[in-house]
Order: sequence, then structure tokens, then C-alpha cells
Amino acid sequence: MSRKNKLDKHIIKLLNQYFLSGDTQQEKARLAEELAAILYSPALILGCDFIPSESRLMKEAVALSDAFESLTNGMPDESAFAAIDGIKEDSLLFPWYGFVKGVQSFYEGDHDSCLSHMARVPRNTAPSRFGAFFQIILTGGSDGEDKPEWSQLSKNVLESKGVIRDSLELIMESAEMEDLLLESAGLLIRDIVRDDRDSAAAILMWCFEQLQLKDILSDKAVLKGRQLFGEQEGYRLSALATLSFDPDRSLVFWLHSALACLNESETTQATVRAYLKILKDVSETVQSEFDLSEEYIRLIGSLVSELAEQIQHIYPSFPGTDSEDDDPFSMIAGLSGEKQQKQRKTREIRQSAAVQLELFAF
Amino acid sequence: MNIMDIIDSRIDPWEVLDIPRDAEDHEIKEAWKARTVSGRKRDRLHLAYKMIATAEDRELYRLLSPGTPETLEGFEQQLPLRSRYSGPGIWYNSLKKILETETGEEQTTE
Repeated sequence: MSRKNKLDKHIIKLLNQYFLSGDTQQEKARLAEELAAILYSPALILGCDFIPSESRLMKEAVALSDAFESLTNGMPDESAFAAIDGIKEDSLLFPWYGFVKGVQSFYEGDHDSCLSHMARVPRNTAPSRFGAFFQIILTGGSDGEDKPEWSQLSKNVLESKGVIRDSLELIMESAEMEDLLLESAGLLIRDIVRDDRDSAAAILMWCFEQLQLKDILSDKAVLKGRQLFGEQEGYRLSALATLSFDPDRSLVFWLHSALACLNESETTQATVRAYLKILKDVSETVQSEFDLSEEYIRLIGSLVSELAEQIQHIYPSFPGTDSEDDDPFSMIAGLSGEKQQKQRKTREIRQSAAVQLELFAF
Repeated sequence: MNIMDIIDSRIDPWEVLDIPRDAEDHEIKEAWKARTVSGRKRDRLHLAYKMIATAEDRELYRLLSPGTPETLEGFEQQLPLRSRYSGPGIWYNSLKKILETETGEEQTTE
């Protein structure tokens, strides 16, 4: 015994009329409009044996069903996606094309693109109803469309934040023991870092914050961050986490992160400038608020020198590197006060590197 | 802007300006100007614009993110949405239920 409800029967009847007896264009358009408003799945067409397998409608239904199934199972089928790109605006299934593209963006984490695709799905069609669902989960707006079905759907297609919250509460219970906290946090972060790097980074920041509040954020924690996120990101997150608590320590991490950025990845001048801006602000704080040891100054001097050489190596024409006046490092160098000026030019290095070192020649 | 100003602002400039994350310099400027004309929340709009006006500003914002929330609740709110793969059925069935409710067509057995 097969189970079909009235809606299914009605849709199949309309499909039959649309495909077999839509004699006039006007009648076909009327049927298409009625169908588009209630066709809740392109997969319904697959069961219609009165539609030949070689027909355009059947081929589009197969491609859309395959693309959507592969997408929602986490194994996108590229050939199915290539096939749906051929669906034209005059197709009965065109609204489903826009919807599938929207869901694809959703799973890729590109929420703006998702909303943009959904906004282009023709109004008054069945898949256009999902526009309200995405508005609710991505923007918090509901426009009176906050239906129980959407709540159920969101529970199924979104990870519960409660799971992470519960894990964090457990982690907090071990905040007195750094090793245990780092081990627990590491397991949680490893679990999600591939699919959701932003959440993983936020969790690491949260854990660093808890350790700092207990005054036990050690180099082991920083090492864990580097192991989980790589040198550049690990040092960057460590620098960010320690910025308010330990700016002197943060400055070292920012320098390591900038160096790793130049060593590890294709970077841009905008990124380099952003790093320099941060280094300037942090070094200003460090100089004004701390009595710095000779060892610390030597460390900073060595890192800054290395950074300058790296930047000049990668960007030989980096704006200003040939002229001290508009040298990008001068914004750091400009912070050096009279005390620093007296000890300048202690090494024979290239001009820009020397400009940087002035800052740290305390 | 001082980096602590950026961190302490705790705003999402793209959200404030209502623009996509990949907006270019001119799109950001246009959005800022258009919204400033309406006269509401000018300071907030200006702050948001200053935070992402150029590629360098946007890199600075990226390097200074994420901020550290003060409470677990704040942290939970800050967590981005994480999608889950649950197959196509739940999508189709949710839509079907809504359409059935609206058309009053209940399930019957054949």
C-alpha cells in the first residue's frame, strides 16, 4: 500500500495536465504557476512515469534532486551542479535552481550569498518560502513567518550551540589546571576546526581568557594554539588574547605572527601594513607602561630586524622602503623617544631595518 | 583608530552598514553615505565605516578578531552558525507541512 496524500495527488494531477494536456500556452502558463506554488520537491517528478526520462523536465528534476541530495548529505556532486547551471528561467523548476544555489551558499557559510540567491527565487513559488527560513536563522528577522516547521528545520540543519556551551562549562571547571583545560579544549577545537575555523578560534580565545583570569596562561597554551591553528594564527590568537593582560608578551606574539605570515602564506601589502599598525600601537603601550629588561629588548630587536628583512625581501618595492620619510616602518620608529634616539644605529643594517630598530633600542 | 578602539567597539561594521562581507571600497563608502543621510546613528555608522574603509582597515579588523566575550552567554551569541548535514528529506517535509497546513490538505492512505 503506498501512502500519498491529497497534496501529492494534486501535484501529480497538475503535472500530468501540464506535461500531457497543456494544449495552449495560456493554459500551460496557468498550470505552471499553480504547480510552482505547491511543488514542494523536484523529486516528486521522478516518480511520474508519464514524463519521459529524456524530457527536459525530467532531466532537470533528476539534476536538481541529485545536486540537493548530495549537498545536504555533505558530499556535493559537481556533475549534478554543472547540470543544474543549465536550467533556464522559463523552466518550471527554475525556482528550485535558485533555492539549491542558496542552500549551497548556506553550507559554504556564505550567508550573504545565500540570502541573495533566495531573494532571486521567484515570489509565490514553493521554494521561495524558504526565504523566510533563512531570514530567521541568518538575520534573526521573521516577518511573521516564524512557523514551527522552521524551528524544526533549523534544529536539523544547524548545530546546537548548546553542545559547545556544555563543553565550555566542563572546560571551565578545570580552569585551575592548565594542562587539563588545554587538553579538553584541544579535543573540542580539533573536532570543529576543519569545518568551522571561526568557532574554533573563538573557543581558543575563550580558554586563554579563562587561563589569564587565573593567572596561569603559560607558553604551553601558546604552543597548543600553534599546534591547533598553525604558526601565524596560533601566535595571532595568543597575541590578541594577551593584548590587555600582558601587552609586552603580546608584542612578541604579534611579531612572531607577522613573521609567520610572511613565511607561510601569500600575503598582501594591506596585511603587512595592518600588522605594522598593530605593532606600532602595542609597542607604544609597552614603552610607556613597562620597564623592559635587556633580554626582552634584544629579543624584540632581533624579531623586528628579521621582520624588516623579510618584508624587503618579499616586497622590494614596498612603498617607502627607499625613503625614510614615508617608510611604513617610520610609524613605529616615530615612537622612539629621546632615550631611544641616543642609542640608535647600533648595527650596520639596511635603512628600513635600522629605522625599526630605533624603536626598540631602549 | 587605535587598535583598542577597534577591539572595544564590539560592532560588526558590515552588519551596521548592511553590506556583504566582500564589499569593495566604493560600495562601503556608498553604503556609509546613503545611511548617514537618513540621520540615524551617525556616530555608529561613521565608526563602522572607519573600521573597514580600506583594504588595510579590513585586514586590521580581521587580525583583531575575534574579540573575547565577557560572559559565556556572550560567547555563545558570538559563535557563528554551524550547519549540519541532515539529508534532503527534512527540507522537503518542512515545506510540505507548511503547504498542507495552508491548503488544508491532510494525509490520506491509498
